[in-house]
Amino acid sequence: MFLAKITRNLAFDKYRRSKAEKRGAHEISLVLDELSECIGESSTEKEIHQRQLNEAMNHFVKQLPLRERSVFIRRYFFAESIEEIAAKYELKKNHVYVLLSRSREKLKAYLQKEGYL
Amino acid sequence: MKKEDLFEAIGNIDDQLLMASEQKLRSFRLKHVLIPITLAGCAAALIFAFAVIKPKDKPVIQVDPSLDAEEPLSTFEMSFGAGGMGFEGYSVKSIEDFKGVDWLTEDLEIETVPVYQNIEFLHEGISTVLNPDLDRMKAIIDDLAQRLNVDYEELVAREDNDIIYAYEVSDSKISIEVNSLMEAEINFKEELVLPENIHNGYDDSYEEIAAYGEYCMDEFSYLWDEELKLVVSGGDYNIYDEQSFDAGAQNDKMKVSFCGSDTGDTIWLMRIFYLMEYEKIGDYPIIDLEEATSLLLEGQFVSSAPDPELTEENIYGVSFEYRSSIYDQTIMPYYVFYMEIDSETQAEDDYLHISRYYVPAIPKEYISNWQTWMGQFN
Repeated sequence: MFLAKITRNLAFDKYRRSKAEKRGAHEISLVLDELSECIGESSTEKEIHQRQLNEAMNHFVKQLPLRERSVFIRRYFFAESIEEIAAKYELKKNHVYVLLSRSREKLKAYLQKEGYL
Repeated sequence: MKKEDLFEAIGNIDDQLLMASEQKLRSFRLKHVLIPITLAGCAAALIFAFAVIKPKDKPVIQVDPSLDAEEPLSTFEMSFGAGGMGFEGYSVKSIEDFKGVDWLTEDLEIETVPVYQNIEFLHEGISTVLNPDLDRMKAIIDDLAQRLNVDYEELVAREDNDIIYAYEVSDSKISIEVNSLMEAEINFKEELVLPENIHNGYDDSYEEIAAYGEYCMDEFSYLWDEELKLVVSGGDYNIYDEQSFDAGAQNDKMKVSFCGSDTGDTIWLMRIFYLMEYEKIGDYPIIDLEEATSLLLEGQFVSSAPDPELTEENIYGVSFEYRSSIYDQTIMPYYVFYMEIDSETQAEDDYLHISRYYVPAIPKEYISNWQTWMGQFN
């Protein structure tokens, strides 16, 4: 998992540097766009410490039901494609979309409740 | 806050949560269950057998190139889809935790068994059902749509490489998909709420899941015509020390899986596996349990798991099962031995780490690519 985190961070750095639609960076771009739903472009942004946000995120993910949690992590931590997640858990792609959509709604509500949005 | 902040926060999720996401989700294990010839009631998870029958009086069935024993990658293919552990493994506190297994306690009173030709197996890296029975798929979907009052406008055909692999119909409340393995998936778009005293969460107890199964058998009895028997299987633990069970029902023509739900108080998915009409290759003699045990202890087995300690004391149980997967050209029975994985490779905890080790029940003179040692091939 340590290596997974390093790999993810490197990919993210690469994305930030290039912002190019290259292999790997493309999936992260999609992931970021999906996550932007939870923030809301017009929301008033608050200055928060990243560590607090990290803790809040951990808390949020822990309380997700097992299946939703697993799908959420595969998508937003590992930046796996919908097809890969569907294959991994033997779900139809539509199911993955539905689960991710539910999770994002919950995350948005959670972030609002916790005062991040 | 920027979306990048959110992404970064997700990047700091606890390792334990990340590791848990590597695990295969229990309720989605039920697949390729072969009903008519399954002697054991255990829910099928995966099989890794590469055996090919060679009947004495018939031409040798050609080994699929992708299963070539000389191909070094074939051993990696064995663990494909084996779940988070990378192999077929279960964590239990005692062997009694396994439910739904028909333990073999004495020799079977049969001398020959039918062996069938699999219609779906890995061919050149692609899992394909050639010549699917489209009429039967349509008949099943029509029948289910009628029973569920699904007033659909269009029968949607799903294709892959110009071969139809599934049909789907839907209305605003329900969608039904039937694939070429005659597996029907009923998706309740509006989740059905269970009564207060019925629960189906992934970590509910055996008794709760059994009650859920009984409830579903009664509630959905309009979906089948013949009597079904309740089957509760599973019993292994995940890393959160949660034990999981699956509820299902079956007879000799069909098997139904009542999937659990995240919240534990709704049902949104049900799968029905109908009897496949496999082509019979022939009847073959079987070896007895004693001979199978000898072969196991000599290392003559197939498995995706780390090697076990090859002693009789390490055999916790045996079942007799037909298995089918995309790795098998033939559907044949195995003696399945439940053994503890070698202690050097298992995690240090209080669990018993069990895997299943398969010894073909057909004598090896009928099998053209018999493995030689610890699941390895020539």
